Amino acid sequence: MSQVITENRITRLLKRLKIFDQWEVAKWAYRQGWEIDKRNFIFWTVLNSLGALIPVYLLKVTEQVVDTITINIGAGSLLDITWRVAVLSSLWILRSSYHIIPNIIRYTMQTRYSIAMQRKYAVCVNKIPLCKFDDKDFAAQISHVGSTCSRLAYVIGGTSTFIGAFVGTAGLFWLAFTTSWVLLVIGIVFFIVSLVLTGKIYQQHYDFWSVAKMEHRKQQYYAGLITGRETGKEIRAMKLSDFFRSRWRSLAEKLTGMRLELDLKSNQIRNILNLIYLGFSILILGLGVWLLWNGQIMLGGLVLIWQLHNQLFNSVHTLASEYLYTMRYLPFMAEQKEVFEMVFDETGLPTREHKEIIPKDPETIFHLENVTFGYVPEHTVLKDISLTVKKGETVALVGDNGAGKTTLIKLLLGLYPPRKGKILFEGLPYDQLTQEYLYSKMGVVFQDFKQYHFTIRENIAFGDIKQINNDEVLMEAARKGQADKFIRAQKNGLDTFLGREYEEDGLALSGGEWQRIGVSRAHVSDKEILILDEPAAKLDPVAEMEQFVQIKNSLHGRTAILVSHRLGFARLADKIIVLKDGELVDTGTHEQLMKANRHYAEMFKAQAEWYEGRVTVNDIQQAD
Amino acid sequence: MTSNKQIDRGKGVGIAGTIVTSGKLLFQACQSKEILLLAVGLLGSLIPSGMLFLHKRFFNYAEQIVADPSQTVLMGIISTLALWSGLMLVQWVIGILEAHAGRLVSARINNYMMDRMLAKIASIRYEYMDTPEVFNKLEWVSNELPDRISGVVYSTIGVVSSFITMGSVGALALTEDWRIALLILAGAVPACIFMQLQNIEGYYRAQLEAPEMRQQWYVFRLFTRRDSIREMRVGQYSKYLMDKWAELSLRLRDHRYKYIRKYYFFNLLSNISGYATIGLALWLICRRIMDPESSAAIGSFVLIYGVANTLQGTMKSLFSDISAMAATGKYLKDYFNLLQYDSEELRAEGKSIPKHADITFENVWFSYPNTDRYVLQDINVTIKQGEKIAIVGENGSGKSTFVALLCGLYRPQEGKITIAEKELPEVLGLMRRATSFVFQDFGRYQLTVADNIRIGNTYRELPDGEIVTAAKRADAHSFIQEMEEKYDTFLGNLEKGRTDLSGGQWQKLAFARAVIRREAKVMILDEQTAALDPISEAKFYREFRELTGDRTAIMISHRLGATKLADRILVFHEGRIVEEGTHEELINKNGLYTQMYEAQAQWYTA
Repeated sequence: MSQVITENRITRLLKRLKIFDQWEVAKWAYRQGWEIDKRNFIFWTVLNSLGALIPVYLLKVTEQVVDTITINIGAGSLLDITWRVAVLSSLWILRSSYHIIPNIIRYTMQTRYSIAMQRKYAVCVNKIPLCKFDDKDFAAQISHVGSTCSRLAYVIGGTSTFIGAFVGTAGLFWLAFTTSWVLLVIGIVFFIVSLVLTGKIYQQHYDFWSVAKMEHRKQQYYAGLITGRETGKEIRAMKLSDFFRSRWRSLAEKLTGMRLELDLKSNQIRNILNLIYLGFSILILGLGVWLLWNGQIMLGGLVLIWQLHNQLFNSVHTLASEYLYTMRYLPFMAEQKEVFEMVFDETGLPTREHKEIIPKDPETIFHLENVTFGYVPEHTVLKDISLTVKKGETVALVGDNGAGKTTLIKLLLGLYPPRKGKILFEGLPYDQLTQEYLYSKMGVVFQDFKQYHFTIRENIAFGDIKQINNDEVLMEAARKGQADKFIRAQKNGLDTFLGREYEEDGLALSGGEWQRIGVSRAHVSDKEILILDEPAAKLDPVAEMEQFVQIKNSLHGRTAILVSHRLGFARLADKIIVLKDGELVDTGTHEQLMKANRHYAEMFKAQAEWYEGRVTVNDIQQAD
Repeated sequence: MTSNKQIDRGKGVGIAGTIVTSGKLLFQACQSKEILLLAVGLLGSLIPSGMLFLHKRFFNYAEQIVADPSQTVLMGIISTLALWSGLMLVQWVIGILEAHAGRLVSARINNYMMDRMLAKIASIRYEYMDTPEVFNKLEWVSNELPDRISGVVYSTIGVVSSFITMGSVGALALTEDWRIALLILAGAVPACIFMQLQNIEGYYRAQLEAPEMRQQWYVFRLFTRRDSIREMRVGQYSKYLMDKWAELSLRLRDHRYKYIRKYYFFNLLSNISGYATIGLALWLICRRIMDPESSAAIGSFVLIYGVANTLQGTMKSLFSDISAMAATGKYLKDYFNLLQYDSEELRAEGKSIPKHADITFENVWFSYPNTDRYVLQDINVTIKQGEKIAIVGENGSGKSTFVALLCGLYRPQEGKITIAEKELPEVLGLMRRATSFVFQDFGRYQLTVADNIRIGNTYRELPDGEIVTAAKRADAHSFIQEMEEKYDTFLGNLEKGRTDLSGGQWQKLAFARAVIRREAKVMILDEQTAALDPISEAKFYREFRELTGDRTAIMISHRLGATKLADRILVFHEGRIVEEGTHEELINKNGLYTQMYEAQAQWYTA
């Protein structure tokens, strides 16, 4: 699978270089933007364009002011000039306010488009079968798209500003034309030449980054080794910091050198640009003086020409930089387009659609026949597993770490299709079931259940979100999960915030306390099937026993699968399934298995001795 | 432990503070010629006023063309244009110099700051890494800093050059008419007041730091990660989270809009006041020009017009520079805050390694930061120089923690650890130098094969021969020889191509890393053979005594068969050493070890 992805990446990279595909990507991006909010886009673009015309009008008014003064020397109509200067000042104010517009756009549009894109993204991610995330490259891509999908706003905002700048430039040319057609010709020639050269400079930067990116990544890698938590141990114990720092430093210096070299390279173009600009200025001002000399323009016209040449120069930069600003985000759009348009093979998995399910055999919850599974083709995690779980049974799934217990649970949940063999849920294969049906029947607490930095209320209610405001149910669940004591000790009770990620007074829980919250989550719902993966691994032995007894007592005839590498609790189960290295080696009740005196019995005796003299299941049951 | 004060989100650094700090950093990180270059670049800020002066001259001549065309006037125009071209050339050269100097200086400061930060992070006490708040902050600063520093430098340069430009242009206006200069100046006063009022700093900080923003981001990230996707899908609460996220986003948006409105309102007010006074100044100058008595010509109008334009442009960039600095000040503060964390004290590092480095643990109790459970309880043990020790026990019984304490990565809450009769903190540096390690989660570094071994001993220069010897002893030489570039093969995908090793091959490299520190007195091996194939594993154990020589060896292993090699076995259970002795002694004792051994033996024999 990862091979395929790598190939895809290469072809994608190749595609990215082609203009045609860039256009396709841009089209896609604009379509997204259009769907999300066309009104705003049009509004801001019109406003931008109008704003870009202010400087044009400003030049015209300046010309008039100058002419008014020069004509009226000595015979001043003060009123006329007052009025014109007032218009001039108002235009200035307008222009400076217009300068803020691109910023406003970037903030308002960003929020609008981010929200919409992130929403689209969440919908899209929801479609992806979970097993796809085992491919690290793919998972990284999904995550990357997640953090960059709001960048559509930059593309849309940049485009809007670009269109505005374009209109403004057109206005300047029109003004040049009304003054003298020669001016227009010189202006256009200058404009095109500088735009091409400026584009070249930006292109150089772009190219530079595609090379420097690699070095930059390396640099970040070495810095990451020093700042990372996992490597931090070795960095200290083996005194590696100087070694990696010197690597980092030499890369940093190399990059700086490359950057300065790039400057030298683009300075060559800049020098040409400057020369052209100087020549253009002299030409245009000479033309102005000549026109004035011949009486074709007045003094105001000369001032206008002077200002015009400055502004043309600026608009070259605005256009080039806005264009490249927008283009910079296209690769992100390409990646998003790819992810958003992905179609997944969902063979063997429950569907997302909504349909009526009629169980074929409601008494047999799970039925596995010769199931073999591995995450990657080279590795087999589960070998030839056959088992049946009847309605109302309590099943203990035991075995060493790495025996395949958690993987089996994932298969039962329909998160992965088996490689070989078949799995039935209530007599039906998973691809005939819907996620909705399946997950409304099964309540699960994973071994590495998510510890949300939300309130305790939310963390527990995630077991059954409908109960979010039902304090009674939530506290009862907390009691069963043995979390009620510390919840009561909190001033805000259920509404206590967990974690300090963004809430400075958040409560930091220990591993064991988190586990109690996790198990409470399972107690909120009364779903027909309860699956708990290592629900007590972080608790001390007494609390562990108590946890299992609570679970057993709250089952009331429901089906349950309990997973643990510790065996003590297994005697509570109706049926014990023993996994070893991915194979099912034993199954039966505690008594049967002890009598059979095979792996289970040995493991049990070995572990039982460790707990000699400690509380046993019977003690707790009596205490109750 | 870390106090909460160190992690407060801070108020950021004021603008003035940021300028001063940047200045200090400039002198610390850059050579004097680079600073000089920067200073020359700053001189370029004087050019706009020169330009304005020439504009005035040009238009005064131009006016005379209309009134009284003559040779002198034409010469005047040509000479002005020539001067102007000259000034353009100067501006062009200085512009290039300034850009170059800015780039150089900001790269220097960036590299300097990052390097200092990396040095610090590499040496802060390891327990900080276990404190999520500190660790988050550390990640935050180290991720954000590189992007921000150049911003600080450029903004600082920008602010300084804006002031130079404004000063010189103001002076030019003064030569025209002091009343008009004063008027323009007065117009800038409300702008400054408004700038203060709109509190750009607060605005940007609100943007960057709002807890809502971090929360929104946190919630959104849940949709991008596998573990949370899985859970919300199975638990059927993705809709709840989506709604929560949308609500947070909208709240955040309203929050932003409020600030934006305020920001632009004040901006508009300052624009109105600024341009109204400039308009007034222009009107005054027009009146003077139109007055036949006065000597003022159209050039004066152009000058004031230019002054207004330049001031407007400068004010605009000043605004954005100051805002940017306000936003980055916080990073600077976090950065300096980070530099104040406690470092490990590697005492006695340079001392000669003692012949006998006996290790003792006396009544050692330990719990990880922010937890209330003792992972090690009342540990008492003495390990003599040269002893081969095996540590066994379940997951979570405290084995790896024991080793981490021995390495001085954590400090026990109670009791003491001594090496060669000296307390560990007193000889931490020496202890590290005298010990070689293979951690369970050893680093798989993207370096060449040779460098991957070389880093096992960074205390001295290693000749290539020694690296090969170490590789041979660790049974790594043969597979290295099979690789295309042998010892120079780059591992990982950071360079062209992609070479990766198998788990067992990596483990052999990690062992070579431990072997290459020949002077080590103690060797710590945590699950050294976990990834090896059975044949390599058997070979390793056969040669174990020879490989470790007269060193003390402390070996953590899940495979009990291997413990037969040890002089003494320590059995850990729930944070305590419950049994110790040789394999035979422990088997005879028929306790926990025996049970574990038999259980495992069964796995292997059955």
